[in-house]
Amino acid sequence: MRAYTPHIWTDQYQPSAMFGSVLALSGIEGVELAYHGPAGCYTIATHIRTDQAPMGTYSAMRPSGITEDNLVMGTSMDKLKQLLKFIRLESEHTKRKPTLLAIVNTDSTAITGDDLAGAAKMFEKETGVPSIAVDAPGFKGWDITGYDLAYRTLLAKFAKPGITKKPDCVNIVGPYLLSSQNWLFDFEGIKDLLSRLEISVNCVLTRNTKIGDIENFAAAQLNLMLTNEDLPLFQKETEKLGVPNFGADLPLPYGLVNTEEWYYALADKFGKSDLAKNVLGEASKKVKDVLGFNYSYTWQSNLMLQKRAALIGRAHFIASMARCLYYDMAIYPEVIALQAATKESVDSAKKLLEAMEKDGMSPKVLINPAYVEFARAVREAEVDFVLGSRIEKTLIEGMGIAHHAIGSSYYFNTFRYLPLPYVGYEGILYLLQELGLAMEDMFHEKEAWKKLCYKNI
Amino acid sequence: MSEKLMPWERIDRSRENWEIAKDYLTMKAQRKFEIVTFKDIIEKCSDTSATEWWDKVIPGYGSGLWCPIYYAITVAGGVRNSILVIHGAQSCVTAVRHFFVLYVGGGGNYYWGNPFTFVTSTDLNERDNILGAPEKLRKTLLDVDELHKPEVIFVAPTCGPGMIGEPIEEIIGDVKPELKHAQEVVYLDLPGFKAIDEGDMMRLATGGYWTALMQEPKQKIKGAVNVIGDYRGTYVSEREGFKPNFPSTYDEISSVLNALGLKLHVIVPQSSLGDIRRAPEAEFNIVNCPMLAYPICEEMEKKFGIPFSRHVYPLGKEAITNYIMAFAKHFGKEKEAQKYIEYRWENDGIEPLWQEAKKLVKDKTVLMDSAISMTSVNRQMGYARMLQELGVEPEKILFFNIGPSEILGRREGVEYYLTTSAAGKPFNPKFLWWPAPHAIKLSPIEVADWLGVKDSEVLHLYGDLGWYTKAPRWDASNIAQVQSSIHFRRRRNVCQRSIFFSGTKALLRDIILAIKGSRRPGKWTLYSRILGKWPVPEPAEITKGKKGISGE
Repeated sequence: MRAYTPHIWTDQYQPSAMFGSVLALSGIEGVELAYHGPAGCYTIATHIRTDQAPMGTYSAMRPSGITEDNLVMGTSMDKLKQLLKFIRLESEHTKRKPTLLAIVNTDSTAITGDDLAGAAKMFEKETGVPSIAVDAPGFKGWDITGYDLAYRTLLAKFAKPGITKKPDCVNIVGPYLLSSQNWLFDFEGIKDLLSRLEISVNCVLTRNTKIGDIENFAAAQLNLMLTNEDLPLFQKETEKLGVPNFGADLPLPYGLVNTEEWYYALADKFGKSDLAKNVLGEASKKVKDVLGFNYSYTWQSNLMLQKRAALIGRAHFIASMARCLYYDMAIYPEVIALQAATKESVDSAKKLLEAMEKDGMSPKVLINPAYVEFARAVREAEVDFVLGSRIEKTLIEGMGIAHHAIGSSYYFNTFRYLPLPYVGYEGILYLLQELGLAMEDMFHEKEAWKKLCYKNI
Repeated sequence: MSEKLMPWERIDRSRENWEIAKDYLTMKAQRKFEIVTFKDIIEKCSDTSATEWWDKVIPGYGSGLWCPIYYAITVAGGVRNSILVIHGAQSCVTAVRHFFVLYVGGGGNYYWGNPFTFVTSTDLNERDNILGAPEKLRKTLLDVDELHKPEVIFVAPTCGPGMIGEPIEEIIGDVKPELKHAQEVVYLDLPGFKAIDEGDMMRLATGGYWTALMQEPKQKIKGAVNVIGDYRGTYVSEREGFKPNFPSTYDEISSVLNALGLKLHVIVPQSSLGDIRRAPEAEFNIVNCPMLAYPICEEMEKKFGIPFSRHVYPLGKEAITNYIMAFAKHFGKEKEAQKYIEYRWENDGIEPLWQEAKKLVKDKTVLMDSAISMTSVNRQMGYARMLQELGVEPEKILFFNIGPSEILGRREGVEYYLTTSAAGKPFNPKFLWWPAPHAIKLSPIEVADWLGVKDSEVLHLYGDLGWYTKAPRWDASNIAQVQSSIHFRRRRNVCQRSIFFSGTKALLRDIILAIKGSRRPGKWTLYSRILGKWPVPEPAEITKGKKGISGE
């Protein structure tokens, strides 16, 4: 169900169904994307798919190049056919055969009602390359709609029913929906946490995913959901395949308290609670070793203690981060802006925050606010710093308030290369480092330095 | 006698695009390239639009780059205290926020100092996109006027409402009297499908809209000069009372104008509504980006009788002199201007650098590589013109990887350059005909090898580090490489567009350092090691060979 929005209009970062379908499909190894739409949509799609590239798949994508003429004269379908011919030709020319051809579209080519599914079938018949069409133009809604349609299409086409279950084995759903800017390494961190519990990963929707992984989807015991957004189409398919979902109502494992909740719940599901305790025990030694008697950390803790923060971002991620600030750092998350596509995500995130309220913290929670409303709430709450994404950085810093980006699933230009996660016990070390940068921004009086600089340099 | 056919004239456009593309792939594999000039393209394609070339001459990839809605948001987004209402799917706004405004320009960008812009959308769903949603637009306009209290609202449609012909102007007309705060509501008719070439997008985003906001001047202000056409760093920092990390282009222009007793009046289009209205009080217009400026200047000349100069991209003494003399002449200040130019050239320490660079670039072949749009053709032309003035033989300046469609798309700017000269020779650079640059780029290695130029003879002006930048062949350690993209070329005390005196000086320093630094083969940078084979040296190479400090 669609989430509450305060107005009939919107002004927030709201990635679209097209974003979702492109990012999901770009996670399939050897995929070729036939992008049916005009230049603006295509250009941004080429940016989005690069998120899957580091340590993963650099998917091929070609545009049909729709122009005003095509839309007026009704020749957009001809353009798609030309594109598919081109892909076929290039494949023959380079002797590189895609593992999957996926046609995706945009607003304009959805309005013209082009037959994407027919084109995909024809391509498959002519080339033998498995082909799908995902009709997820931007106007269909948030990214979650695109993910949902892509997952449904992939499972319906490839997943085999009646596969023998593997013990201690999970599928992972929606790694990019973690909505952390560090999602690539957070995902690796989650896999590592699973591995330490001796739980294997069967299929990921989607990241470095092979078609064979999707075929064996039903072998997993459960789907570990890295999002609390509603995925109704995926839900139906996975029910048919007999794989239940797990984890959407848990906090994401950012920080110590959240990790304990998440990890123990997962371990309990597999009867591995004792092992989980051992894993966390080992990790805690490492954290203690780094931070114990570390005056830098003591200093930073003093800087952070009792500061007031505002947070903005995807509901599941930002609610988890707010809990981390409060429980692990004794920072007060006074204003929390939850961005979500579905009511299920908002409700679930609110529950995570309600638990915090029982422990003494009652933040102001905004659901899908316009940027101007968030900015006014930040100003009124007199917060010391804001955690969010790169999108609203200029707004918040423009107001003279420190801002640090930690969220938004767009790896590009985060300038973070150390292959370390934010998640898990050890992830707290990286989060501390991020917060240290926020503290520097907050405390440093740069304007005064400039104004009062020694004149004879 | 029949005239020689140009390469694009030999393309059989009756064939299917993919067949044409196949020829291109073969042509690339066999290195069957040819050289034309910018004049060839501009003059012999006077009746060809950029779209035609995107669509047919660049087959398979004929997609274009960005779309008009990006330019609607980028150009209007920097108007102070304005908000934008995008009538359509929210996805377009998020797409623009995702990358374009943060890094390219417009409201809320990281590198150019423009303030955050509120870009609302009517968030139309599937049904609205097909059947229309005029009431949603009406309600949104009233809401955002109440909530944001803007001075001006810009409204632009996305593809859906654009396709179904939503009566947006009528809705604006109905609502306007009910607005409490917005003094103007401007309809920007720029749906995404309207153009596929950036030059066309810029034309669409400028023509008509800005002069419509201007008012007949009550008085002319003596010595007042407007600067027209930009969406990056559109402020004079002294006037705004702050010191940015990098001076804006307008800071440098302002210092030149002030030295001649003139005054920078208004920056169009990105100023406040009040300032835009007052722009016709100026006596003269000068230009920053030709594509954004020329349409506005031409309209202002016609409507308000304000003359303008077409000069752009003043890099090098000749171009700077031409740029400044154009307005100095209008105000009868040629002598002061000449004196000022000489003073700055001397006082800023440019001359010794010029002489040093001149020696170093002698005999160099300049590869003007524009593989990405951030190195637009008009900017690259500015660099090339200065290199010609610096003494590089015109025959040895070769452009490649600029879309031929972009040359047509930004025709007005290119035409301007072709009227200029450098070092006493007409400026008409060579262009390596390759019609699919945005998709199947040529590497400078392919070009250098095809030309038969040695690595040590190359000066490579690049826009974006490419896949070819790999050890052992192509790296800053053995090829003189100078960054020429607008976003990356920022230097301390150099104005944001890297032009005028500060830009010339910085470019000279970069050229000198790049050439001198390209004589350390084997000491590859990280980037080229990542893409290359990461050649870990043998211990003896470091301890005993020339690579190490203790070696020979």
